[in-house]
Amino acid sequence: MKIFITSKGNSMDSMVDPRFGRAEYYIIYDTDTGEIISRENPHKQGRMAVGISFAQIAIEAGVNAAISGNFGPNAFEVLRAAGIKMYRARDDQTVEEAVNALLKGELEEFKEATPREIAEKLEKELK
Amino acid sequence: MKITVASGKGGTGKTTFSVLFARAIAPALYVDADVEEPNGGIFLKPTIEKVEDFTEPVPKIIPEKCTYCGECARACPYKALVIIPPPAKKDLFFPELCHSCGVCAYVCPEKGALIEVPRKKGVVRIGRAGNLDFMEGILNIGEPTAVPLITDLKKRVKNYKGDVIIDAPPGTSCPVVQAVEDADYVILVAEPTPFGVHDLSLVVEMVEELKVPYGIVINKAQEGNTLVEEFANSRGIEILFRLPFSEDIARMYSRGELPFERFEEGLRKLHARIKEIAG
Repeated sequence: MKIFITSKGNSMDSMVDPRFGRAEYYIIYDTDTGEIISRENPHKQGRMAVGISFAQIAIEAGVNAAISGNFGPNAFEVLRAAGIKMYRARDDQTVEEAVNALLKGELEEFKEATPREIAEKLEKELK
Repeated sequence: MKITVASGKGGTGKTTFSVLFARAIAPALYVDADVEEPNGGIFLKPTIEKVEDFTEPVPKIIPEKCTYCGECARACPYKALVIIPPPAKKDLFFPELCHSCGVCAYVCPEKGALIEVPRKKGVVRIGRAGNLDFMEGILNIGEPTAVPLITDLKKRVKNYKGDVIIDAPPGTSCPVVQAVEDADYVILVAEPTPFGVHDLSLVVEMVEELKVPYGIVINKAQEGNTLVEEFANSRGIEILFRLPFSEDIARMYSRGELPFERFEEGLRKLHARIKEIAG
């Protein structure tokens, strides 16, 4: 299984970034091979359609699950259409901790998107 | 002739001036091109005779013909389309991001897999206020750009016999350029405050670039305040008219009324002066 995680840094020890579209980095972890890919988010400073563009990276990578603190309405819709399940990490979890929690079935699955107002408020706080 | 009323700063009195001017020089046509918040109708109180939809083409995927290759989504500069490749084979369209540029239909390699269908983005209301013809565009909330609706309004008034007063949106962005471009004359409304003069200087740069003849109207003009005059003199721009600062006008405005008769004579003279400059 391939897992897509938003991250504040480029390693498994980095904290999970609570934003999806404007996360600093993303990490793709393949549970079968142990392969880890980490990249800076090319859309984090984008003006519009940031969530959609970022979600397409996950789709093109062929991931099965995504972990973040929040998923905005557009990103949620795109990932759901692609059949990628979304899970909520806690604020104090590193990428590795969040992945382990997911594998143990301890992460909550997002059934709906983070409301736009909350996503925008979070965005302002983190700026 | 086509006269556009613009201002760098919002809330300077573009609409106040436009409706006073249009009523004074009627018969004429008043066009509210501030399509994101048109308010000239509040003061003119027109009888609306026709309401027409404003539509633009947006993409629609035909599932039986689409191969879900994703060419359209990759080409879309606004990311309004998302194609989920096989086996999922899904398409998502975000209308609030679509600018109706048509590139998706252009690049689609499968004939008939992506067609363009009209989508309503606003309305145009047409009517009359006494001997003044009235038209306003109202853009739906959330639409990405006001430019196409302003272009549509301009097309509609192109063959109007008589004077057309276009009440432009505020600022110096694309919708304002669209409203000002190819006008015969531009009236810039400014208020005598530091912010007012600063934003006036921006819109002056814009009309200079567009090479349209223009002059300045001072709104909320006060005895002894020469902020706008100093700027205008330094650039050699004509001050066309002054609407005085007055509590009484503000009170009327707050009730949706304006003193139409009070400035009628002066505004007709201004009209004659503009004809002399640009006619």
